[in-house]
Amino acid sequence: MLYTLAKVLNILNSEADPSQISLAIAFSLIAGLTPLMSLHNLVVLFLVLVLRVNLSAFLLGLAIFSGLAYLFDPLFHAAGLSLLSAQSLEGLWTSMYNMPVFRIARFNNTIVMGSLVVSLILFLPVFFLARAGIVRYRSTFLAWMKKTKLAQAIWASSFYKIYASLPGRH
Amino acid sequence: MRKWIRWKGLLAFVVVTALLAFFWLALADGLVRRGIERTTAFLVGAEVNVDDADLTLSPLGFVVSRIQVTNPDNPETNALEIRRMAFTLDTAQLFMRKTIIEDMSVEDVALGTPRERPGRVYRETAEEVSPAPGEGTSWFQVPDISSEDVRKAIEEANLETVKSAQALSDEIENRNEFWDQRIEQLPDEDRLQEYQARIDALGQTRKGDLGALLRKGTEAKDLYSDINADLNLLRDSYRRFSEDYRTITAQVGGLSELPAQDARRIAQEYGPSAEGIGNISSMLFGEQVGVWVERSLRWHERITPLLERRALTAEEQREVSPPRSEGIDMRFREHAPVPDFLVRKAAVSVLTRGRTLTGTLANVTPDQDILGLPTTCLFSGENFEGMQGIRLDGTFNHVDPSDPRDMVRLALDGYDLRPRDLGGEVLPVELQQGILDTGLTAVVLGGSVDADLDAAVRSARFLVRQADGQAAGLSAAVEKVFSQISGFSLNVGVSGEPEDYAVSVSSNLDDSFRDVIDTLAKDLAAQFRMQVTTALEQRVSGPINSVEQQAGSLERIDKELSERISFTEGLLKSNVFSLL
Repeated sequence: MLYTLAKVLNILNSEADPSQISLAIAFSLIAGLTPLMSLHNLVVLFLVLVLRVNLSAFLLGLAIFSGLAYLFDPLFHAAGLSLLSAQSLEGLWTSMYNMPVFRIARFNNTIVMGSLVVSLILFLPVFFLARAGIVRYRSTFLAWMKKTKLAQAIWASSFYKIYASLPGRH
Repeated sequence: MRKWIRWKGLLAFVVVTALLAFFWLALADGLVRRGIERTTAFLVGAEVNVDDADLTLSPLGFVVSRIQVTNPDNPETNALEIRRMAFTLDTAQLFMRKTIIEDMSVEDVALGTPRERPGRVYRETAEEVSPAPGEGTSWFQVPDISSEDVRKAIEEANLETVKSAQALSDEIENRNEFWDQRIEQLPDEDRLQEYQARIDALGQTRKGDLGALLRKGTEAKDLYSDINADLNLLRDSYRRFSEDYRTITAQVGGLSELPAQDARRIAQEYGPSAEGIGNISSMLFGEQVGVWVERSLRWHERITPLLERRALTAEEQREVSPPRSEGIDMRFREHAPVPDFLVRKAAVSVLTRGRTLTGTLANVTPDQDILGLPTTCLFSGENFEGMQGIRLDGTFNHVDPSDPRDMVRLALDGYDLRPRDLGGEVLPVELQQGILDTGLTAVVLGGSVDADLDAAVRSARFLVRQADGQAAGLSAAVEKVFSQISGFSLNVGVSGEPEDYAVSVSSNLDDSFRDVIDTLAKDLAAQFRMQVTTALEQRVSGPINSVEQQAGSLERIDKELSERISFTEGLLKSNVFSLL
């Protein structure tokens, strides 16, 4: 737990661009909430590796969102089922069903469809909220924290030693 | 823009993707092996083991070695064991998530092989269903005279006899009392003596006295009238008494016949009879046939998912709660419909009785409605060890899922029957040898089963064992009948729903047995009736003797009345007439 917290702080306090961190979190949202071994996650992996996003933030987000996905599976199933059962979309789904790439992507699975749609909807809000949060954290909370006696005490604690030992800190 | 692009990431992506592909290929064998194990185990309900599965890339396919399917009814053996199975996949269809196997070879299938360790059974098998109780299970029962039922029946019958004796005794007593009282009121000896005195007095009348003679005449006339009236009274009473006496005597006589009547009734109720015996064929083969039918139906139930996919309705899809992370794969109309799984043709070789039985399976798919063709099978072979020939063909037509029609035809020639016990505990008979020729047609149509088996057994030899509690005469008769049988025919019919079906078994053995059993039943029934009669007579002899003695007391009254009548008649004829 301490390690995870230290890792979050390490990312937040690093020199990395807030956009790179928040984009990594947004990508991890898709990869984490949807079934990992899905074709669309190969696209996510490609983007994560090619775009200069923060890999530590992505991996951390992936772990957290994968855990949350298990809790939200019934919700994703219900969302996917109502989308795939919608009469107005039947023509679209039928066309996709007859295309190998979509069959491999398992778009017709209720959880794949539900979780992908939910994560895509949340993608931009999560990106902008995370970015704003990081900027605000660095400008206000981090600057204030550095001046407090608590921070002074933490710097002297074992937690700080773990935190300081993490790679990418300096 | 360059700030956002990580060119090294492109290389990393290629490497990661290549590694994923490599690992998938490396793990494919294991995935397929486990896939076969799980899917088959789900269908059969018991553990399935696959030794190895090898992926071949050109053409894409698999070679699977040694598949063992545990027999859920006997986990220490395999229902079947396949030495090698090879198949190629339609690669283009794989991208549409379709498993289409154009050609498959299933080599060296062996049935009932022993397992190194007992396999796990995931679905408990239903209890063996015995043949329906009824005509086939009743058999010749020779009751013991000392058995509880018979003893109780004798006691009850005894009560009836004693009650009758008691009632008759009371009647005799009443009649005795009545006639004792009545006889007191009838002219008795004193009165007759009085008549005699009057006669004597009249005899002494002087002959020359005319007046006296006239009085004598008048008195003699009065005396005659008095004696005649008493005589009529006595005669009338005697006539009525005689009627009573005859009635009582008849009832006493009837009482002695009651034990015999009771014995006949008991013998009819509890004694041996050939009427209740069902057909011997049911008794001998019913249980075995029931087990075969039940096993066949169970295997049909197991393979049904291979023949027909049960699609969920929209309502069921909404209500169903899929396992976490799995969801439901929704289906949509395909432009060129193809089954999800299809084995177009499979060549199968089965090792049995020292030779290979070859056959083909065609169009194995749970999506027959999409393919438009039924699943078929055809196996045949000749000159096996202990079997001259076999032919099995079947059609499993689920093209219209609402009207499935499955049919199997089996013909066996010269099948060498192994020793087997028949008849259960009731009629323990061992068929020691026999050669079977048979034809079976079984149809499962619209949820109901209809099967007909005609069989002829030749060179048959039986061994009859003595059943517990069976009469010695019966065993000897049964043994004699079986010793004369060297061949027989057998017809088995099955009809009804798989959960509630009726089995009928008939054979020419029934005719062979009927006459023998009829004669034996009559002999044994007569013996039993005699035993019961003897037992009853012993129990009721006391009360009957008592009644007979009571009845004897009425003779006294008879004698008394007879004497009085006789005396009175004497008075009238010899004395009074002489006076006149």
